[in-house]
Amino acid sequence: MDNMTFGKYIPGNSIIHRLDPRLKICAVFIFLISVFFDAGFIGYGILAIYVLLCSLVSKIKLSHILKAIKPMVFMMLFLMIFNIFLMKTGDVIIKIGSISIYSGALLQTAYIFIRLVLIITLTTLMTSTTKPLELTLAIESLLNPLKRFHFPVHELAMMISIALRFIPDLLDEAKRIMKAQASRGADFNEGSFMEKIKSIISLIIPLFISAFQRAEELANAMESRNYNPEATRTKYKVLTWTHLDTLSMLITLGVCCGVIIMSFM
Amino acid sequence: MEEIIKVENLCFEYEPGLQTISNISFQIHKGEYVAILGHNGSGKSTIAKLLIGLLEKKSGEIYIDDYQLNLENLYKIREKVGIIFQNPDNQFIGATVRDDIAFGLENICVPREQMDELINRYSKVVRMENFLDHEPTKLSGGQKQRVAIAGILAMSPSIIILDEATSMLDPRGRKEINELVRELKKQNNMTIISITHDIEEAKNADRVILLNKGEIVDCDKPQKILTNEKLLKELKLDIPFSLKIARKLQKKGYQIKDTLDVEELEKQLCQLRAKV
Amino acid sequence: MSITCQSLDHIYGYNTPFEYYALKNVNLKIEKGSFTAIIGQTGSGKSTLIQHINALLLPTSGEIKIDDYIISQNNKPQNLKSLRKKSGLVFQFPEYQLFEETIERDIMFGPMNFGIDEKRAKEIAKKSLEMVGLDQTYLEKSPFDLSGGQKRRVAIAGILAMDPDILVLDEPTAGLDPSGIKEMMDLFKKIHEMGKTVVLVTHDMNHVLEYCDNVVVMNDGQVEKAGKVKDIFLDSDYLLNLGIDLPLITNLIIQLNLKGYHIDTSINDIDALVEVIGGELHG
Repeated sequence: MDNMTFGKYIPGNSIIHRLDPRLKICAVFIFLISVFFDAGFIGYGILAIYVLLCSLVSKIKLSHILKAIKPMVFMMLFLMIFNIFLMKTGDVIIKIGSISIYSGALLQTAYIFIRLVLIITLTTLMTSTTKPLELTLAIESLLNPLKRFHFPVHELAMMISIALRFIPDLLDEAKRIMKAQASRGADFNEGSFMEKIKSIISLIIPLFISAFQRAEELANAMESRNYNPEATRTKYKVLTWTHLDTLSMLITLGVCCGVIIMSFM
Repeated sequence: MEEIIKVENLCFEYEPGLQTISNISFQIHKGEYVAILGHNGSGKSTIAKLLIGLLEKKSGEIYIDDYQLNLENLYKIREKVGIIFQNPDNQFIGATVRDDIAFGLENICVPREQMDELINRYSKVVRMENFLDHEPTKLSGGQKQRVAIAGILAMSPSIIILDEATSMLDPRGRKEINELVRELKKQNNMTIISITHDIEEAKNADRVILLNKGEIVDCDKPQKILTNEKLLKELKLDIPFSLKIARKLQKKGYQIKDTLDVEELEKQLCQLRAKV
Repeated sequence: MSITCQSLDHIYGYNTPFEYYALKNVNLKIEKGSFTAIIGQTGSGKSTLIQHINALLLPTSGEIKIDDYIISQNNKPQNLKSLRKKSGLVFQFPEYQLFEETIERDIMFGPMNFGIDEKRAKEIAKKSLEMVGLDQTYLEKSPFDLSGGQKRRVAIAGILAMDPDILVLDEPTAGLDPSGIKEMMDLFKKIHEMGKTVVLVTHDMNHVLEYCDNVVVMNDGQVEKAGKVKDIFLDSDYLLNLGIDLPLITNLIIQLNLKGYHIDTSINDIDALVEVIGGELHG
């Protein structure tokens, strides 16, 4: 678990770091839509250039992004193999015994691969250049119109930010309990099925107990500092939209809409 | 002296029939530093939670700054009383030091334009001004407790309760917090209630309330209570180191006065030696 | 069992932007049958070091030897379980590792993981519980109904039940009240007297002076000093520089000696100190 750098915020001061988190969320969203329109290799080329430029400007190391892609490799391979053997469009290219591979399948598989790599890269860029708290603020701000329908936007945002705040603590706790049980001979990797179940129980129960205790203490701390979810509160952190954000929005919209239009031509 | 906290016949039970706090009454004056001393399970933390309305009393009354503690006054009272809990991790709410101090300010609706100034001022008081953008995982226990104190000071309370706030800290963290608290009392005339089982910490108080099985056993100056060896032993507490030595020397027939302070003990021993 | 570390390094998050050097070139020998304290500021690497004794962490480079077991980056011992049985590790706040319905079953967890049959494990549970000062009536109770101090004792019984040769303790008295602390330390003294090697990570120098014979001083991931307790506390300026307070007894002796007394600084118990002061006052 020490190597879980995937998605972690990496401090920096690049243009991408400074962009409004609302813009970043919207941009990723628009990009997600456009990536599913098939605009051929030229279309994907344009999107790839967009992603590449973003990562260059962000000054996030390529190795960091590759690390984020690594855990997905297995899933990608799985999808690709399925596609190659099961899709039956286009001409037959290779025929081995009763299995034939079609050109359409190869093309689609390549597309899937490209799509996944692009999506993962861009979302990793977003999470590594934006503090979790800012993402929460952005979500709260973007969902704000839902307040009119009595949707608990503030409570949701508070829940997300507290969850984000305590994820590292809970991971640490899990690691600690795992180690403590391992020194009592619990085996999380090997051993029979029953032994494994027992080991996992010896992790889960203490983890739950400690999480509940944490929750109670945290609730006490929040209440004693006068937190009242129903009352009005002022806000310390506010997001400010700059011209740079508008410009970035226009570029993103231009690129993505361009690709979508191309796909229909 | 002006009374700031008044507790009358307070009772509380977690389970029906099992009284955790039985019929407690005490007063605390403005600017006073009171230690509530007792072993684990004596009910001392329960009192803290009752004082800020985190637990609901069974009977009795609590007055804070002339306000009676009830549902109506709850938030007003919580503005006057700040509390630091035992576990530094579980009271750090913000993503960074800055956000954590701001959390309380947001709750009491301080305008945004004033927040930065308050955050800067109180982070300086607790000497955390260079850590404003640090995340809690990168801070020590003592630093986190200092941030908690800053977060509470920024809400300008008149009473601070320390609920075993130093018991999970290393010696350095403990020292820092104890010094800070003494400073606050001196400079801001803050009323301080320290809930503890640490005799050396209780020494610093103006008054000690000794608690056992949810009842007040004694309430007096530390010089009186902390020298009552028999009673403290009975309540599974210790006596201060300097007093231990003084008492043992007294038994051997030497002219040594009871003292809670090691330096005072040294002085006496040197005088005795000079006479030899 | 003795413990030997040779040029031990440990780096957390190696090769990531969050890389952190926790141990640097640690060389150390802990003798069989000793009661050794590991002291140092928070973050000096104490907890990281002791986790190597149980192969819970592997060295990034260098090695650690526990009797015949050699642990290095590429060499996780084949018989990991038997190593973990021989060196019992009590984590900080060990009460958080309790999980079974009854105290008896929780203490049996360790022994049964190491292949001891149920009947024998039950006997062991009874004996271990007695050792930590709780009587048989507790066996059938739920560990979650106990007080904090009792929970901790049950957790320690769970480690003692494995009958380890080495007992490693990470700040076992944190958060306990004075009487709880005294009982706990006396328990470790008893275990040491049974011939076990005890390694104690602590911030309380009074415990080090009163209970331990050897001490290891860590600073910034390195072992800066190792030796007999009485020798380490002689260099009071060095310890104060590291932010480590002297034991109350030693501090008093040093202060008195500055003012004309001649008291042996290796005294480690109040009664002996009072005796010597009395002697000096008689001239």
